[in-house]
Amino acid sequence: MTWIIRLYNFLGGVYFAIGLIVATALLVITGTFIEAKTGSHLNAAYFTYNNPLFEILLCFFFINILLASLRRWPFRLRHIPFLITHLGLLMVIGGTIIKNMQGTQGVLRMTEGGGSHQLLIPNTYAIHLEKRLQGKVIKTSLPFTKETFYKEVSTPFPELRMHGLSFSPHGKEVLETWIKGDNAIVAGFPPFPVHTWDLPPDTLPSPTHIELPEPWMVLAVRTNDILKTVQRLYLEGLDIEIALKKESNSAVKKPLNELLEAPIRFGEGQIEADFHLPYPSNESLHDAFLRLSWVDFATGFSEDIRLSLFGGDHLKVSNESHPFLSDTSFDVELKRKPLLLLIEDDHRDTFLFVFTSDGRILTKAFQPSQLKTFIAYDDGYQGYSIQAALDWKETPSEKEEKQRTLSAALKEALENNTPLIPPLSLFFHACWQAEENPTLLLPCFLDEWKKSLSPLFPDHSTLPPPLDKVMGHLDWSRVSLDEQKSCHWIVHLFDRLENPLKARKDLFTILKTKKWPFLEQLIPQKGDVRKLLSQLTQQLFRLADGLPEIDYSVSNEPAKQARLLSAFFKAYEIDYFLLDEVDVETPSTKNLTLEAPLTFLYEDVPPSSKLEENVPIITLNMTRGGKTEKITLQYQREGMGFKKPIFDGAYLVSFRPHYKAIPYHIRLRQARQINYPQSTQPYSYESDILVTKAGVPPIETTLSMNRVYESWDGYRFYLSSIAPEEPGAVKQIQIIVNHDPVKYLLTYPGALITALGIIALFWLKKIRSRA
Amino acid sequence: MFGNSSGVFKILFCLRMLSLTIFSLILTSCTSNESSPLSTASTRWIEINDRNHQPLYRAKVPLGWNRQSPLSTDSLSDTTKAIEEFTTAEGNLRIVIHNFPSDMLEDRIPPQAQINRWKQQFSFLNVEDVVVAPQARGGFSGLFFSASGVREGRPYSILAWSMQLAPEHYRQLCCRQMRADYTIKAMGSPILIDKHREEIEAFASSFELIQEIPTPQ
Repeated sequence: MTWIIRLYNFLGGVYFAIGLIVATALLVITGTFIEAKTGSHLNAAYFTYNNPLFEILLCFFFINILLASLRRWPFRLRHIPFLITHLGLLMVIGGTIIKNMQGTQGVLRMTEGGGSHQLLIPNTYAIHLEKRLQGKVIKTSLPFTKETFYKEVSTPFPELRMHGLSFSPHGKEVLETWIKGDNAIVAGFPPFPVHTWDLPPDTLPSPTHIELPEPWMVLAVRTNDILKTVQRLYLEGLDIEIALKKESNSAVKKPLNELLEAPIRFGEGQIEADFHLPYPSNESLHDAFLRLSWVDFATGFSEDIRLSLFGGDHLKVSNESHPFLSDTSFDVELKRKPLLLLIEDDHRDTFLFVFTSDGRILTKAFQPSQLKTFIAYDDGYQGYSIQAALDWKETPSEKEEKQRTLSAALKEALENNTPLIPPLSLFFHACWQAEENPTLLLPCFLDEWKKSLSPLFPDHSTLPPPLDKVMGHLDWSRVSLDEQKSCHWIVHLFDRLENPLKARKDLFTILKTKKWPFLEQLIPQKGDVRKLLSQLTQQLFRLADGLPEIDYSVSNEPAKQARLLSAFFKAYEIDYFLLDEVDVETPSTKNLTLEAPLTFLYEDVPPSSKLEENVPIITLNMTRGGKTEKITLQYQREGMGFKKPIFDGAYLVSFRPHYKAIPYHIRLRQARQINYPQSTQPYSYESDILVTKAGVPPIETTLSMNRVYESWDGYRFYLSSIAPEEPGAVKQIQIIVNHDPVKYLLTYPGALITALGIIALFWLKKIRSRA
Repeated sequence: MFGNSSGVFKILFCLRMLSLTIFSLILTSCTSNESSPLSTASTRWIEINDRNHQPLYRAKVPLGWNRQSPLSTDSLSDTTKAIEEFTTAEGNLRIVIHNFPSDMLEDRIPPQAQINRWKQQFSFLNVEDVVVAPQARGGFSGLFFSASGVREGRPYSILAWSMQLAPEHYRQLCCRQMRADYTIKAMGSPILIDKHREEIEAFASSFELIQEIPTPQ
């Protein structure tokens, strides 16, 4: 009995109290050091606040205070302030103990328009299962701890049992897309091997062949030197065909590799090639091109053309040496067997390249860590895949299409009685006089002009018969004398400019040398020959009445008439570039859609001392009706991610924090960021919510940075984050919910009572002393 | 707990001051924000039917607005017909609501196309007064449009919203009525629009689907 009394006195004594205070202080100091050293609050909490020792200390505090009070028995009047203070302390500590046991803290996530009452409890573990039954989705979860993980347990679905096989505290989940280990997978086709090299070997491996439905070659490579691999494989088997437009027998066909190594004889001169392929990415490949430089030794004419290689549009050809011309002296075609190339680098990013039969390059990148889109079959019950959809236009005769489109537009303009500008009026009148169709002949005239490679229609050309006939009916008396004078001056000026332009002399410099009086107005177009010529023509046209008189007589030769007419067109900004600017409906678009199943690879990684960064990986044995399936899952800390199908899509399973339903349902109406006036700096974040609870009228309220919503029964809702920031985007918010069930019953009243007790202790003591 | 030890008296004096501070802190602690019940004295919640005459939306409507709902026997399959209409007490300011059900994302009319159509309703438009701003609310995102000018020889203003369900919500919803885009358009004289601007904006802000949009997981 004596020992009981001694124990009673000790537990209620001051020395025990001091010991408890010192222990608590040491625990808190330890927690502070741990957090400072590891940078991990979770780590510190594991050793302090969340540690059972801390709970035991609280209980001892409770016992100490209680017994210290009871030791004062029998109670006197003078004990009242003391008892009040200790009662308050007991209520506060009791409230803390109950809150630790029964309280909740978690996160609610929702999108505008949606709502939730499922609280995500951070740093807890649960297996989430779902299945479909009679058209409904049934979801359930099975919480577990590291200690209970390895036990075989029934799941909330009675037919399904679960047994933990391995728990790794930290791991990495890698998404495999097209390349899986030593094989590449394209859905619907057998796997083909992956070749690994640092640099492309001298002898390339033979590609696999598949039907897509045309025959395609496919090759998969693992390498870090993507640029050299792409260059080498692109040029392999690529032939170039070049033919002069004016000489039908001039065609040359060679492997492009040979042309790149050395110039070859072509026509009366030679042609050489230059190939530029930048580091492949969606943006940089716009600069991929082939440049061909041709020199005609007989005439001294030289031409550089550039063939753009990237993208879905028809391979664009631009004349670099004579930019005022939209056409080239020769036709170029690239031909190869189409190749699908998959390249994986050491970051496990996969690049898909398509080299089409006409030498086009298309590409798509797949970065598992930043997968933008994927396909979920049957909401994920049948797995996931990634898709590459590529399309490109093929126009067998783009020229004819453009002419047809222009004709149709002209016909529509005529039917609508659209007034014609003077040069068109002149031309159309001549066509009607010659009983020819102007809507068909105008595109033809522009095409002949384009083929001449001359800024004005050359006066020595042979015209097709219909145009020849029309030129003979041009009635210049319908055109004002000023305009006629301007046209003649334009012809006269271009007579002097054409040869220097063909010799690649800079037009601006020529005009400067010749002291063109209105050079300043041409400065903005300085680098653009075509625009410069157009501006120059219009300057002359506007100066009509100030120009000296000129000989108006023009030979009746159709070519000379055509040259004068082209000057008139040019003054009104009509030239053969009009044909290039016509948009055509492409008759055929080729497309290629490929898919590959998405698979998951898991790797153990040494755990970090910062526990928040650790992502556990578990492997489970799932059993159903005698059948067993293993599944590996990564912890989805935010409660979002892929759900894995098991048993042929009968269930979906994921490893996430435990969810707890709260009695309050929160619906998010609108979330917004409010900025400082005339600034993009955020001033406040607000969310309009609707709070509903069974049996209680709904409440509309607004949460913001310093405004919480608190229910009468101890639930506190804090707005934690809003994303994204753009005003027109649908927002997602995160609300932190804290529930202390006894806050208003014990903790707060206890604090008040303690305060009153302390006041009573000091003031009443003073009064008694005075008495 | 500490007994009557004389060495504690100085500590107790400090605690006296501390207790007063704690007491005052308890009385002045952070308060939770004021909450409001669903309806206030000047507004009431109403439900608005879809084109099948089934309740689909709800909104807070000022008490002074007159409601003109389509008859239950009317066919509303023609989307040029409003699903609900209000007029203010003056009678010259109309607020009309349309929705545009769809089966596929690609079938939807872009909000900018609606705005362009509304602009063309003016015979003369004060370009300086035109406001087009992105907005998002209740799972819908779109554009807000405000403009004034002249229509049929009279001063005319429009305050309107063209909203579409966010793509991430679109596939969560099963029925085409719930997936529908909606427009709210208030039109009348600039004076009336200015007078009732706050009411109209509050009405548009409160407009939402009755049924909550499921949260994707």
